[in-house]
Amino acid sequence: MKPLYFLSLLLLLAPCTKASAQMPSIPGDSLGLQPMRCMQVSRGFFESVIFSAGAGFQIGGTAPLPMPRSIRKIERYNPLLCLSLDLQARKFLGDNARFAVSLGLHLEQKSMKTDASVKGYHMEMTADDGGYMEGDWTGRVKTHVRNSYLTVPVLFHYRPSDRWSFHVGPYVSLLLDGNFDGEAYDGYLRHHDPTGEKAYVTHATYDFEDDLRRWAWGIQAGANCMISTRLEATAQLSWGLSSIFPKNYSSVTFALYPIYARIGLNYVFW
Amino acid sequence: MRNLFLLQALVLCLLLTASCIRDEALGTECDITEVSPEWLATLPDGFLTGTPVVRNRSVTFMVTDEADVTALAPQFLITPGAGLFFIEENGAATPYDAARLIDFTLPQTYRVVSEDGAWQKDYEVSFERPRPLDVQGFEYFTHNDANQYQRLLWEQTDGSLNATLWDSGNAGFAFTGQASDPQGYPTTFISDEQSYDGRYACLRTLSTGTFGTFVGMPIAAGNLFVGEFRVANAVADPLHATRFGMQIVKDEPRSIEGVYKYTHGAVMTGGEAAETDQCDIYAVLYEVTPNAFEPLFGDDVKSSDRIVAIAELQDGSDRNEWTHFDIPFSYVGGKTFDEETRRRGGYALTIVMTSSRGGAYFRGAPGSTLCVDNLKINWKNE
Repeated sequence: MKPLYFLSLLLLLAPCTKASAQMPSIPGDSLGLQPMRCMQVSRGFFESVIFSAGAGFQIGGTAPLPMPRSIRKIERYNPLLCLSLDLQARKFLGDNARFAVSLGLHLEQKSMKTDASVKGYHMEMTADDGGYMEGDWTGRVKTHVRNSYLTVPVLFHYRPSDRWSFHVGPYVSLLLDGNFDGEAYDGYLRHHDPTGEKAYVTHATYDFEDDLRRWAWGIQAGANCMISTRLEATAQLSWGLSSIFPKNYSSVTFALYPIYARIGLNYVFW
Repeated sequence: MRNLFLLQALVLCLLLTASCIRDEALGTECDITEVSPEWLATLPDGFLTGTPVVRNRSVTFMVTDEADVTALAPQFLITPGAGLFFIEENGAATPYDAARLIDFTLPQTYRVVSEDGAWQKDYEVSFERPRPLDVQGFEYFTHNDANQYQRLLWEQTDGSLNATLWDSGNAGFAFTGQASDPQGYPTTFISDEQSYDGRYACLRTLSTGTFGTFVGMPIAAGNLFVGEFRVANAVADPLHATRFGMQIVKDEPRSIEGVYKYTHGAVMTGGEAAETDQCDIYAVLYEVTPNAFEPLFGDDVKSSDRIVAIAELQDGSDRNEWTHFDIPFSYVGGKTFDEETRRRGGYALTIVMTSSRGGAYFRGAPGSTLCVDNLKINWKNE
């Protein structure tokens, strides 16, 4: 399904690339990358707009910040392979094209697997059938997050040279497909609070997928580097500023922020 | 490209510094985890009956009639880092003194305070003298300390009420959050228009809902038995949560008698779909080492080679009206009852009732209901 999203977006935007304009040259440009110079200037808004399509992968974590004291040790962490497919329209500003703004469309996965030791981790759960559980868990917790987002970043670019550019800006994401499940194992639960009845648990599963927030936002920052006339390498950090669960969510009592680093290649349609 | 790697390194550093593990908080738990085995070893032979029952807010010793409980200094193991106090008659808490002898004619209170000082728990420590099992009319009950479910108070032959000898799996069901009041638990004691003779025991097999499913325990059968339910094992090792039996045998048991009704639930869980749920009522007499009591468990209560005699309801199918039963004990493996062994405390007895015969293995039909009243052990020399 996901490559299809990307393909259809690409097809929609493809006609626009034909109208691509020549990017104004930068005075004193030392690298002299040819395509930058030979683009034709056309009129209207799409003057000095370029499009790019790219793919990359990202690694990171969906983590609480700061780490709550109940988390004692991260025993295992597997970043998983997260892919991203990206489209971007960049409009250069001013005559020297040192600055630009861009609107992107990313189809991205933010996934990870962790296995942590926790002590006295307080949680509440309400089940659809009315069951309610509250207590302090001491033991191991495995978490598997697999979230797919459609992300729209709005970035401000600064291009000190023809080869390098840096960018920063906010993004909003729509959760297309979310999974958040795992298991609690080899530990014990104290019912309600530390004075409650104690029950050892060797294995219990949980699934909080239905409670994931649909929307997310945060900021991105990164750098692009032209490595050939049409290929651009990109590296980026995206820092989530909204928790993946709603505020006051009682099953996971701390906010979890997706923080992912991405590297990728963009094909630039001059 | 080098700058790229620099950037990646920067990202990693950021992640690491932002997410570092913080200092461990001080302990919040405040338990008496067990009675010191060293101290138990100092008690004279023939002092204790069975093993001390440590619950979440009480410690109960069962002692023989000869035991002197007026000057004792029991020792406990508590949560590491926590503090132990003795509560004086005037309510003041004095730090625990292992040398101080205390009169346990009446229950006394100990307090455990957590390492961080924010939590505390009072334990009622009592020494009880259990009477041999006799008639059980299920007329009296109390609630657990958190007021969630009913606990049977057994009316002893001397008129006293005992909350320790009988137990049920209600404490495990409490974790599922399925019940909002005591009547929502599998094991209840009720009096209504169906009553045979006042209050009766009503055991029901219930669904444990989402949380039961999370731990692979989709049902909870109503159960009631002579012994101890260790809730700590209820999820991790349920067959060893039920500790069947007490050393309360006054004579050679002849039969177990009572009245019951049973209705099976519609849909079996965990078993063959075509199977019809059945109830179970049985009593087991078994051998124990007098001063080292070891109960029977969920997986060997009917099969242990320590079993001397067993009385079991053969047909656990539906009974719509109150039905009388009087099941004789049959001796197994050529064993016979030995009065001398009994006098030394070498026998223990349990009575077990459940609304689903396969309940220990989570096989049963939600809705199965077993009602029992006027339960009685008939002894040989009565």
